[in-house]
Amino acid sequence: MASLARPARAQRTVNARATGGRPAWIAAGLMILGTLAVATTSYSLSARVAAERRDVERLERQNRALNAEIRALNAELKVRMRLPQLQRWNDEVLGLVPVSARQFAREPHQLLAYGRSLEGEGAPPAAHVRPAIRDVPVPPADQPAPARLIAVAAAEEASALPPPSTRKAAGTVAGGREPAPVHPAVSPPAPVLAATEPLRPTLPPETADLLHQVELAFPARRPGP
Amino acid sequence: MNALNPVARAAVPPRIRLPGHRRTALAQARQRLAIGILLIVALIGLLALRLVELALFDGPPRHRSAPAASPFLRADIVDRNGTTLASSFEAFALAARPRDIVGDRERLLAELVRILPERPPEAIRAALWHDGRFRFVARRILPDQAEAIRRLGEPGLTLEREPERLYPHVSLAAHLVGYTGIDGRGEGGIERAFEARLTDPAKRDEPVELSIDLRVQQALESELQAQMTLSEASGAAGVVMDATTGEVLALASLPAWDPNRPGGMVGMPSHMNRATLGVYELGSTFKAFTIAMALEEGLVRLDERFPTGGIAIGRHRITDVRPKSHALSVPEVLIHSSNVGTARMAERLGRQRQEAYLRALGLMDRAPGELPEAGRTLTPPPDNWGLSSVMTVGFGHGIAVSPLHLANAYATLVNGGIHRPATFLKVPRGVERPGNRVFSEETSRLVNGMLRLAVLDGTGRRADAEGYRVGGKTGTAEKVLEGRRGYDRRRNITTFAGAFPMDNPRYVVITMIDDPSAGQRSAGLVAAPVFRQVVNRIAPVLGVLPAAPGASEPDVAALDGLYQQRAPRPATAPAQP
Repeated sequence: MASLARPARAQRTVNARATGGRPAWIAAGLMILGTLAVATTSYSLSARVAAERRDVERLERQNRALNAEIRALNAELKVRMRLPQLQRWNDEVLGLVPVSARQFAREPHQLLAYGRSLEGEGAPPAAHVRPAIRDVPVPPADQPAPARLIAVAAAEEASALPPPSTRKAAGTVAGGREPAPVHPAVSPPAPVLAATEPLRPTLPPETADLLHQVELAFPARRPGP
Repeated sequence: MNALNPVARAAVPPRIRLPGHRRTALAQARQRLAIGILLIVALIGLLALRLVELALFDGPPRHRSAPAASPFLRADIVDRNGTTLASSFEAFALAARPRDIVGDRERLLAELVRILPERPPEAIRAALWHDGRFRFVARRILPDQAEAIRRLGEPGLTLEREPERLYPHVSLAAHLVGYTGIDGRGEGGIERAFEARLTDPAKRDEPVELSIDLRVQQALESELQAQMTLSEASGAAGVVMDATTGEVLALASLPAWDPNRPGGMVGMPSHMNRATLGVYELGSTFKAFTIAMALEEGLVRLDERFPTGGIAIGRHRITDVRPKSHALSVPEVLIHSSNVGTARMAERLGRQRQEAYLRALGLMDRAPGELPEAGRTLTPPPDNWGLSSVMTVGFGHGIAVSPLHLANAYATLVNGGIHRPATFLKVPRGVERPGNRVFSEETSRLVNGMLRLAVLDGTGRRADAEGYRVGGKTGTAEKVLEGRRGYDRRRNITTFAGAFPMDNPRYVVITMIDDPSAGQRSAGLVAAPVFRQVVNRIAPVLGVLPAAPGASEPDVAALDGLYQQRAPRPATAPAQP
């Protein structure tokens, strides 16, 4: 029957009309391209995620290592500032004594007794003032001894009214050198406002500079309990 | 009729017409095919969904590449201000695996001897040449030593990391804190008492807070050590306690040791905790208790006079060391430390009441506190606690207690009469610990006044720390002879038990020097100066101000006329009524 015989070309045209006018191989090509695109996108996504995860793990490892290092350094610090060592330093080098009951001021007016009178340098020190360093005699007021280096950091703990001039023999501030014997301290102990006091002219210039630097670096402060 | 082209007829397949059952079979086959295809598509779809899910979200948790060998395998121990007493950290240990050693062993030995100077060369040699697979060469080596060993590049020498315990303050509070053995378990002290708490994984980051104040501990230990060296004593012990809360601020026992290297110290004299485990007859420090007991029971009046002649009881004779010519009032009994007067008071007390008070003060039990090294006191046996025992216990002989017992009992005496057992854990601020009342407030106040007088006018003069209103009692007792009854006249235990500031006692301090052999041997000259030095050092640290407004001498008005004032009174503000 004629209706059953369709030439092949006609059949292809029929097929083409059914698919909207494009040949069949374009559809297959589009499908393949689509699959490739999805696959590459997914793969790149997962690769990026894996890279981020690796970074996170690396950071965590670094964190742990740093924490361990911090702990080790902390341990070293605690050992270096252990109390028996501080006691030994005090016994052998600094020679500071605890604040005595008389050094507590009952009222702020008492602080005035520590100051030097404006009239002259010859004012004798108040009788109950005792330097924080043991074995140090309070010299008579007419003989001011030349000032020495300040042992300031330890002096802050030593007395309730920390005179910044708890001075003692040179050579022991930095530590590590042979401690020189203690020389008599300056008299009278400077008041709390000593930071603005002009330095004595008898100081050699480099010592005066160092004093100034130390006083700037360690300002006197009020004690806590 | 269509004349069909035979070729065309052959080219077109005829429409198939199947009988009924074959049609259903085909339909069935098509159905099954469709189902199969759907299943496969579903499977692929599932896999695709899983892939998407894995790509977007985290998969199952991965095994950590470097297992965090947490150094916090043990919690820290800190003092009440947060200063570290014990902490864990990772230390290096050098191990030798002889089978993996590729280099020249002699050269390795020389290198290791150079890097680890403190390790004996024979030990290193034995570790490198031994037959097994693994042996430690050195534990706890320094980081730069470990680095030097790593640079040797020897695969047979491995650096293991182990959690180690560090006690930064070395021998300070060594007996209290304890130490850990080679397997990391606590042995002795707080380390052993709180083993479970320290190794609890949930609490490894929270340190155990002790009641100890390390500055007070250092002051106590250094002063005791100085006196021990000066007197060439065989040992010393000290306790500082908070009188109101019962917290122990310092517990010292000398000689001490380094818990970082305990070694084989168990059994050595330095290892015993003389403050909690050692029991001693502490002598005249007990007289304060007997007087307080007698006053509490109303058995004596303050102005009652006690003659100082000797008492003969059994084979013994009780006499005063320095008998006075006149009869002593109650304050004078304490000031001049009269054995006879105290024995008479104890006699009135009787055994039942004395034992009850001793039990209430905790002097018949183990030492208080959380330490495992708690000594039992030695008291007269129940079947032999007759009048002579009652009398001798009254002035402190015949009963042996530890310094911690004494501190706890003194705290009860001076804080108003409430007994709170000592504790080594920090009590949170504001928390009131429960206690039992043993003495009344009035009795406590009276005895506080007498203790202050004992320091001002009595044997404890050298304990007077200027400005801090110290009160206390000396005690010199001869040591008991080993294995024999009787006392060794040449060896003493010197104690000073006191508290400050006496108008409102806050802290109790006990100092004990065991067998001072060089120089003076009485408590007033050996233990009392230590007390004064300790108080001078710790009072500013603990916030006890010498001249705060309202702070003054304790009220001794009730004792006026009953004693002879010998020392000039320090100039402080008069007592506020």
